[in-house]
This record gives sequence, structure tokens and C-alpha cells, in this order.
Amino acid sequence: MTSLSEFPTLPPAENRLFSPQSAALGDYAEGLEQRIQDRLRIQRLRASRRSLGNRLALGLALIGPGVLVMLGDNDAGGVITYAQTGATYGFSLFIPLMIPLGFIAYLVQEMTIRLGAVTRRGHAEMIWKRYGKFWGAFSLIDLVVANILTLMTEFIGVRVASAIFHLPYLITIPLAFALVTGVLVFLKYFTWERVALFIAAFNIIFVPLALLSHPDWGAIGRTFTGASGWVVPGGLFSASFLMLVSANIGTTIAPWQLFFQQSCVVDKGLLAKDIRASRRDLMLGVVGMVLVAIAIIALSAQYLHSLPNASALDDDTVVRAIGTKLGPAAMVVFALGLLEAGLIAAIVITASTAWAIGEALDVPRSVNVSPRRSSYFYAPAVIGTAIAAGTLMLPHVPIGFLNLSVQVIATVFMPAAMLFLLMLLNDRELLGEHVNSPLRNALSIGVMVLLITCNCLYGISTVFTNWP
Amino acid sequence: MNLNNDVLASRRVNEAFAWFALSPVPRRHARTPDDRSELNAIAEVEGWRLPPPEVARVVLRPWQQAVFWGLRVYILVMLAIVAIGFAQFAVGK
Repeated sequence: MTSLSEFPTLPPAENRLFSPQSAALGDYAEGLEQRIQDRLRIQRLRASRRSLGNRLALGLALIGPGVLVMLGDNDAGGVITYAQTGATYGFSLFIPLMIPLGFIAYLVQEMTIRLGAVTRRGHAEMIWKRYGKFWGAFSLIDLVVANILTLMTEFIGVRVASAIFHLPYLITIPLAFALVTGVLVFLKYFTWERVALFIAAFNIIFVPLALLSHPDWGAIGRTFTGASGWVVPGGLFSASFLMLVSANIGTTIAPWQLFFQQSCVVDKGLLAKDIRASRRDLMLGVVGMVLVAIAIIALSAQYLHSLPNASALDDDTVVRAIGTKLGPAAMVVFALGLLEAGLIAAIVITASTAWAIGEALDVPRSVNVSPRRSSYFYAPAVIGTAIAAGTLMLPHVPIGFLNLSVQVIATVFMPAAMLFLLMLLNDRELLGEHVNSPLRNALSIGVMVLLITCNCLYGISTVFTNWP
Repeated sequence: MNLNNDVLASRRVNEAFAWFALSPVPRRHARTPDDRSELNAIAEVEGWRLPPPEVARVVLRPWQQAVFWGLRVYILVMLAIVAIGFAQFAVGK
């Protein structure tokens, strides 16, 4: 077994993007120069004439990590989890539940913005440096395992979309893998971010699809007022209900999101003065995430509610049922949405693996660095994504339940990840005035207790099948 | 030489995707003296010439270690339970 001390020894350097000697001469290390150019781009837009075009360009330049993390959160697994939820419980309390889940996501992710902007270090690096290799390795192993499992659900989306378009998944999955890893390896941060945002924008496709499907607005409204009774068939403590609750929480907040957004903030070069803009970016992403989630739940509640074994529907059944009820055009749009959801999530999760491992190994860790200069940064992420893609190329994978299980597993890893985050956010030596307020701490601890409680109830109901 | 080829290839790829930038800022990598002076100025003002603040190592207190070990046990137990759930589903229970 490889111990931590046996990790490859690399030339010592602080953050390795930085070269004090060369910077003093006005010459910068490859990755750092790109990062400063990105900063310069934003500064020029801020200083430019206040025209509509310039404001739009500035707004577009400032969005990034927040929108990516939240729309990446509506991944292929998430889309199917929402569809399973709507199909199982119809117009139920899960629709209004998405709004508090959005606030929970904002609460958790906002902390990573402050931590990244103030310390200029990624999440894995902070844990590794502050608490040592032992605990750092624990959090990293959790992340990598959860990421590979989650990536499998993303390639499920690709596989199902391939079937809809009559393309063999043995070709489309490798193509998707090439795209996901190619944009990370060959693009610089700013272009990588723009390409990822361009793909992420198609996540919203589920909203017009739901609007055009003649939704039952009365039924949706009643879910918010409680007029429909919020009745849960099987009861609040049934295994299927608790699993869907856990899965919905798992698809809203997951460990990769913490690591991704903090490292993304650092690689974009955001500083403490950009925290407000980053919060707006995050809020925009949260609003998008909640709208898409509600759209999918409402759509499936209206058209898939009568399907048998709804809580374990697989992606293919969901997409084909949409086609049966709403026509082939809707099926194609849903399949495209599923494909997009898988691709964008795979792009951001692969990046989160690269950043986290790069930070742990203390190698140059920026999308701005060329692959030749930092193979230790890119290679583990590419390998992890290859494992997930390879698994989904196997026949007879139980897709529906695998998807739900992965979402639940994401919530299992979350409390430990959140505890590290909370400890760092209460570290005045690191964050100064940007430490958490007592209210934010109380809310965060409440989220952790909620996660653990839901999981424990699910565990009890699974092991003791006759309970309650 | 290989490294230079890599950098040039990387530039070509990034320029091909440059229209994603949606920005009125010139996208070519060729830098003018003005660009360089602006680059240096922003590096100076925003502290990019300095390494990030050092992070000192702290030791977790015993109660913190106990909580983290508890969470490790919780993760293992929950993973086992999810595996049970998965197995029950697989055999069609």
C-alpha cells in the first residue's frame, strides 16, 4: 500500500505558478500570466464606457464558477432523480422543497467563494496544509470515489441520449470522454470556462419544454400552499420516500461542488474584492438550478406519474415515456437536455478531480498550465473519467438504481466535507473578517444534521424492511 | 522545441475557441508594450507578485478527531447499507 510519504517527490515551490524572480522582471510563469490577463480583461471592461454592450460583456465575464457549479449540479443523474421524484409522488411537496434546497446550496457554496477568494488556495490544498496529509488524504479519497461514481451517472445520460438518436454508445461515450477531457487539457482557463458556460446554458432547455407541455398550474400552485395535503404514499418514513429525499439533497449539494467552486474561484483569479460579484454569479446559478429542477419534477409529475416502479425508472424509460406522452420532438429535446446535463457535469467534475489532486500533490494546478508541464495535474482526472466512461460501456448496467444509489452516496460523504469547510470558515487566522457569522454556522450545522438524519432513516428503513 | 510546439498548438486551440469569450477585448496573444505595462500594474496592485499567504499546520483537537472518526464509521456503515439496498434491488426483492 502506498503511504503518503511515497507520493512522487516534485521540485519544491510555492503554488508553482508563481516565480518571484521572473515576476520581478515583468515576466510571469505560464499559468500565472494567463490568470493576470484574465484579471486585466475584467479590469478593462470595468473601466470602459458604460454602454449596454460593455455592461453585458462585463456581466458575462464575471459569471463563471457559481453558474457552472449550480448548472453542473443539475447533472444527468440529477435530471433522472427529479424525473423519478415527479413520477413517484406526482405534484407533491418535492416541488416547493426545491426552493429551500436552493438556499441550502447557496449557503454551502457561498462559503467556498470566501475561502477561495481570501486564501487564494483550493479546498483540498487548505485541508492538506491546515490539517495535514492524513486528514487531507481522507477528504481526497472521499472526493475521488464520489466523483468517479457521479461521473458514471453522467455517462448514463450520454448512453441514453445515444439510444434515442440511434447512435451506438460504444462510439458516443468515447467521444464524450474525448470532449470532456479535451477541453480541460487543451484549453486555457478563460476559454475552458466560456465553453463550459456555453454548454451549461442548454441546461435551461428543460424550462421551455415544461412550459410548452401545458403544465397544470393549479396543481403546481397547490403544492406550494399545501392545499393538496402533501400526502406521501407509503408514509414519511418509507424507504422509497427517504431515499428520494436523500437523493434530491444529494443532487443539490455534493462534495465535488465544494472542491470545484473554491478551486475555480482561485484559477479565475478572484480576490476578496470580487466576493460580491461571485455571490451574484452563484445566485444566478442557484435560480437556474431550482427552475430546471422544478420544471423536470412538474413535467414528470404530470406525464409519468402513472408509470409502474417509478422510483427506480431508468433514463431510457423516462425519455421514451416523455416521447409517448408528448411526442417525438419533446423526446428529442429531453434527450438533448440529458446529454447536455451529462456533459457539463462531467466537465466540471473532471476539473474538480484535477484541481483537488493537483493541490494535494502540490504540482502546478491550473487549467492555464500546459499538460506537458503538469501531467500530475491532468492525468489522475483523465484516468478517473476514463474509469467512469469505461464502466458505462459495459452491457447490463442497472442504470436506474445505480443513479439513485450514487446520489445517496454523495450525501453520505457530504457531512465530513462540510465539517472541514466549517472549520476553515471559522478560522480567523486564515479569513480575518470573512469568517462565518454564528447564524451561518448554525444553519450549516443544521444542514449537516439534516443530511445525517435523512441517511440514517433511509439506512434503518433499508435494513429493517418492515419498519416503521 | 517540443515545449514551444506545445505552447503554439495550445494557442491555436484557444484562438479557435476565442469567439466564446464574447468580449470586446483583443483576443490575440501577441502583447503590446501597453499590454505588458497594464499586466505589470495589475499584478502589482492585486498582489500577484507575492505568493499566497502561508498556511500554518494546526493539529486537530481530540474531540475534532473523534468527530471525524465518527464520520468515517458513518460513511462505512452507510456505504454498506446502500450496497444492501442495491443488492435487494438487484435480486428484485
